[in-house]
Order: sequence, then C-alpha cells, then structure tokens
Amino acid sequence: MRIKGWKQILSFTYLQTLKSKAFKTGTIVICVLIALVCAAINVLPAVFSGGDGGIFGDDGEQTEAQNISTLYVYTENELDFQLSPIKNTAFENITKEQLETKLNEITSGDKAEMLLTVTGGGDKNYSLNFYRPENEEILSRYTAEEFSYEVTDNFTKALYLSIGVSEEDLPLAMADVNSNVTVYGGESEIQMVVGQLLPMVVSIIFYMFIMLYSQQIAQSIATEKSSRVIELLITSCRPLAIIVGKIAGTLLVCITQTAIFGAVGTAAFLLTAPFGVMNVVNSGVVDEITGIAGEAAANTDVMGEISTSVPGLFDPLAIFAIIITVILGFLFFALLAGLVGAGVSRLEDLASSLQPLILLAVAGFMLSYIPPAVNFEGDMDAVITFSYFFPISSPFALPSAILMGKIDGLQTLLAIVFLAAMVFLAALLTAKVYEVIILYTGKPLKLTQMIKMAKKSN
Amino acid sequence: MSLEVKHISKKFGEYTAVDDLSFEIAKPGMFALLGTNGAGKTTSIRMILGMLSKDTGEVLWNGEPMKPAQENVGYLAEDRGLYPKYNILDQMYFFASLKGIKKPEAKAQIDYWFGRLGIDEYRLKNAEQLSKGNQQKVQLAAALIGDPKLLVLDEPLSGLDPVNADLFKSVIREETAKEKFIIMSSHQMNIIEEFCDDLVIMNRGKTVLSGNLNAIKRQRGRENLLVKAEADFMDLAAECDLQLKENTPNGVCFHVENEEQPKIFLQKMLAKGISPIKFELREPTLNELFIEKVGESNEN
Repeated sequence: MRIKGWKQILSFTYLQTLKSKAFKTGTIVICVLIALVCAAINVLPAVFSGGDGGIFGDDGEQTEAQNISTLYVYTENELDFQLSPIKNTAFENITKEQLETKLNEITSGDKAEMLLTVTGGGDKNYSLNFYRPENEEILSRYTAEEFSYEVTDNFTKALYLSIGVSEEDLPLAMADVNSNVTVYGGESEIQMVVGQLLPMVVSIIFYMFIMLYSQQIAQSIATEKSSRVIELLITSCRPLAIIVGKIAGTLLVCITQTAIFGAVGTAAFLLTAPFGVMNVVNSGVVDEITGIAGEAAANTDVMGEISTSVPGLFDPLAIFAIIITVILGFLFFALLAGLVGAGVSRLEDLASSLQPLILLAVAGFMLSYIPPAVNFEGDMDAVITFSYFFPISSPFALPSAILMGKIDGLQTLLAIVFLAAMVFLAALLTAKVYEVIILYTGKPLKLTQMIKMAKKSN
Repeated sequence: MSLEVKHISKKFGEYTAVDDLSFEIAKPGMFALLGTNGAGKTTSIRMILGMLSKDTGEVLWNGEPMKPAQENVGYLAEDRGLYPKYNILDQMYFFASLKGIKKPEAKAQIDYWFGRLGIDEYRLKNAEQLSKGNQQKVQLAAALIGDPKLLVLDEPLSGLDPVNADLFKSVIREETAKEKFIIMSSHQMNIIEEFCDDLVIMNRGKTVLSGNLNAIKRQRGRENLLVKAEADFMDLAAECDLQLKENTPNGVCFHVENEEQPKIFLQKMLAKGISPIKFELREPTLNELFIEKVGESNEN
C-alpha cells in the first residue's frame, strides 16, 4: 500500500508539534489574548456603564450625581407641574434677571452646581438646557450628563402625570419607540453590518489558519529534506505516506488548537458573564445605556437579528458544510505547500519558494475579503458569487456565505464539489511529483520543472 | 535469501549516474560498493532501496522485486539525518514504529543499542545537542533497530575518531556474524579489505571491477615486490626489468611480470653483497587495484 505508515507519521507529527516550544508559547499567548478579549466583551461595557445596575442603582437612586448640591431652574413659561426632587440636590428657581449672573457664577464658580433652562411648552416642544462649571475638577462632564439624564427623565414623568397619565400607565407612556426604514425582504441595519463584517472576519481567520499550517507543512518537509531524515524515512514508508501523514497530523494540530482557543474563549466569556454585559442585559440597563446614548436600539431584538443575519449558525448541515469547506481548503493549500517544501533542498530557499503560493492564497483571500466590504450598491454581487465557486477563494469566501445563508444548498454543494475536484487534482499532482522530487537536491524547483521530472520518471 | 541487482541504470538529465550495474549477493556477508566521489555509489544504494526510480534494470530480494518499505531494511545514510529539534528517544520510537515494532519491543531494542553504543545518557536530549559522532551512533542504532536482514551502510566510519570507529567495526562484525546481508560503501580501502568478501568498484557510474576480492587478488597473483635494503639496488632492478611502482620510506615497490624475475633479482642482490632488510612478494592491495582500475577507466 502506497500510504502504509501514514498513521505513524501523523502521530509523530501531531505529538512533536504539540510538544514544541513554538506551539506551546504561541498557544498560550493567543489563549491569553482570547481570554482577555472575551472577558473584555463582557466586562468593559458594564464597567463603562457604571457597574451593577448601570449608572443608576436598581432603586432609581441617584448615584453618580450625588455631589451636585444645587440645580438652579429657569423656566421661560410657567410649568403646569412640579419637578420631583432628586436626593441631595436642592432645586432653586431663578428669574430671568438672575439668569445671566447665575450662568456666569456657575461657569466660572467653584461649586458643584448646575443650571437648567426650560424653554417651550404649550404647543411647542420643551427644550431643556443644562449648564455646568467650566472646571471639570469641580464637576465632571460625565457626572453633569448623568445628572441631566435623570432630571430629564423626571421632567418627562412629571409632564405625563400633569396631562392625566396614571402612575400605572407611566412606564408604557415612557417606553421608547424605535423606527427603522427598510425594504421588505431586504436587510436591516444590523443585517447589513453583519453582512459586511462577517465575511471579512471569517475570511481573515480562515486565511490565517490555512496559511499558517500550510507553511508549517512546507517547513517540516523542507527540514526533513535538509536534515536528510527523509532518506531514513523512505526506507520504511513511501513518500506519499509521509506527506499524507504530515498533512493529517497538521490538520489535527489545527483542530486541537482551534478547540483550545474555542474552549478558552467560551470559558472566559462564561466566567465573566456574571460581572458583565449579560448581567447588565438582565437588569434592563441596556435600555438606559442606549437611551442615554440617544440610540434607538434598546428594544431591538439583537439576537433575533443576528440569528436572521447568520442563519447558518444554528443549522447543523450548514456547520457541516463549513467544516468540509475549511478542511478541503486546508488540504488544497497544504498539498501545494508540501510540494513547495519538497522542491527545496535548503531551508533558506523555502521563503522565496513559498512566495507564489502565498500570492495565490492572498489573491483568493482578497477576492473573498474586498468585494463584500465594498458591496454597498450590490454591484459586486457577481464577483462575490464567483468567489464562492473559484477554488482559490472559496475556502475563504464560502464559510461566511454559508453562515449568512447567502448561498443555497445546491450552490453550496456545487462549490464544495469544485473545491474537492481541485483538492483531488492537487493530490494527484502531489502523488506523481512528490515521490520523484523528494530526494532532489539543488536549486529550488519550479512547478513546471517538477511536472517535467514526474513525467520523465513515468 | 539473496539480493540480485540486475542491470540498473540512472540518468539525471544528460548525466549518467549509474550505468548498467549488476551484482549478486547470494549468501549472507559483507558486500562492498567502492568508488571515487561521484562514482554513483549513493545513487545505486538509493535505487536498491527504492528511494529513486530506476531507468532500467531491477532489484530482486529473494527472487522478488525489492520493496524496501515492506521489508525489514536498515539504512545508515551517508548524509546523517535526525530531526534536530526533537528528543532522541521520541525519534527512535518513531523510526521503530515505522518498521512496525511495538513500543515495548522497541524500548528493549533501544535500551540494548543505546547501551551497546554508549549513548544512553543522550536519549532525552535533542539531536542538535549531540556531537556528530554521537548523532552517527544514534543513526546506527536507528538502522539496526528491528534486527534487519538487509543492512545498508553508506560510509559508516567516516568522521569517527579511532575509538568510535573501532566500536562501529565491532558492531558491524557482530551483525555480519548474525548471517545478515550487509552492503557497505566506503572510501577506506583497509576497512573494506578487513570486512568484505565481494565487491564492486565503480567509476563515473560504470562498473570497473566486480567479484570476490580474494579471487581477484589470486587471479592477479603476487605481482608486487617490496624491497628494502641499506645499499642501492635500483640499477640491479633495472637490469632485471622490474617496473618501479613507488618508492616509500617503507621500501621500494616493483611490479613483477613473472615468478622468475624476483628470483633473479634476489640472486643478483646477494651476489653483489646487498642483504635485503625486506623482500616481500605479495598480491596487489585493494587500494592498488582500485587506483589501477579507476585509472584505466579514466583513460578510456
């Protein structure tokens, strides 16, 4: 059997790579980065929103704004209602004549005081303007803004109560109403953002993995050649068994490393969830944050949008298709990298010999990366579709397309078949060429020279 | 058991590396492959071991086409090779597993060979941490693991100090005694003379001499006369038509045409009162045969 011994090569490649310092160091460093990023996703929004309960405590008490001693209030027209007081802050009404003097005092003063002017009313919109001291050491912009949000909230509540809204109906009356203009059957804003970001992220990740491990295979084969270990190996097994075992071993390393990264990321996310955004979501503070930011996304069903945007995420068949695509893509580039490694006799020649392969991969990656990023008007649709079926780019483009449901089942199958056919051709080429060139020493071989040598040997 | 190499040839482009090489090792023992640098020895070994495809000819092991990956073959390559960054013991287990040896058996054999070759203390080191000589010992152990019936040693003693060369020789002797088929390539003629029964001498890919070393020597006869004396005897040698081969501090070596020439020469020396310190009639050495045959081949 031409590949007898491949399992031993696989096992040796796998275990030795896992034992290597480079693998250990690289994995640890990346794991730490992943853990930090995943923890940051949870913790940072919560930290910036003021910790548990957000900027306001669960009981609605003022927290950050406690050090504002007085709020001077000037109303252009008399209000039909009273502003409800805020703990630790005195409300003091001022007249039009006092306004300018007070404004100057507050602006250049050394007390944590603020001034509110209320304009409008009647048939006009109300407008609330808050003024704070210039010196941020006395009163920070952040604290002043936090305080203004609460006063505005109280103002709105008082306004609703004054026009006859009952206390029970108040939450309903004050609920945010979000609007979104879209085309029926078209993409929402979140879908559009996901549609542009996901292909980029997915193609970058797969590009990095595929190229990293393909180059590792090339380097490993070149090392075996340059250290002459290959001569010892091929007395016990055929060259084809060596490359098959090596590719399978490296694929297993890739899967192991991905699993480690995934596990670390998930663990970091879950462990920090009680301190982070998940808790904030539960407490309903996201509404406040988004409201404060003036964004109208508080009631948006983000997860629902994501599941609509990324339907493949919840489809086992789609996940299976993605795994097959990535494995085929890895095999395609790994086989070519194996040939490159076999074509060089010295490690110093490897980098220059790998350049054409890297350029090929970069071209495929760009084809999957750039068109979705600039496809605002849909004029890149044809190029994007082409990238799904072109075997050089499909390993990078297809996974995100499947995830986002941009390609139907039949097209997916067709794209995978194209890619599999290319892998088959690459395997045939490798099988023919590898055995002939593996003991070659001299200048690095070009692909045409390899093929010529293989033909001649037959 | 037998190994038959039948008319194998190999060309690299226009360059003929091996041209119609044939020999047979019909019984266990040591077979030598000799040749100058670039004579085609390593290419021949690679073809025998199936690493390189043959342009013509065949290699038969027990009458069947040789399939080294399926046979138990031990190979010590001329260009020593180990994974520089990997632990020696892991590499040995790996090489053993490729030969189909299970771990407990591999462990026993590794323990034996590492002890025998005096490299036990290096088993947990990386190859790059070992000296060249010790790497060579690890390679020999890797070649011997699995107790192969066919052992191919390409320049096994090159680069070794005398102590380790002696150790290698004793191991090779032990393996020869185990009725193994051993092919050895070397530039060191004294080693080949010490170990080998049969040989092939190659030059520029062609076979210039092959057969049993003792038979070749017997066939050539005692054609070398080594003489050493205190007085000058060169005129007498010229009178007897002795052809000067070389003049060394160890004596003067002449080529003799027949058995009468040395007798007449000795009589004349004694008649002139010249007492030889050394007067030795001997068969050609392998070194002499080698230089002669390679020289003839180059002239052609």
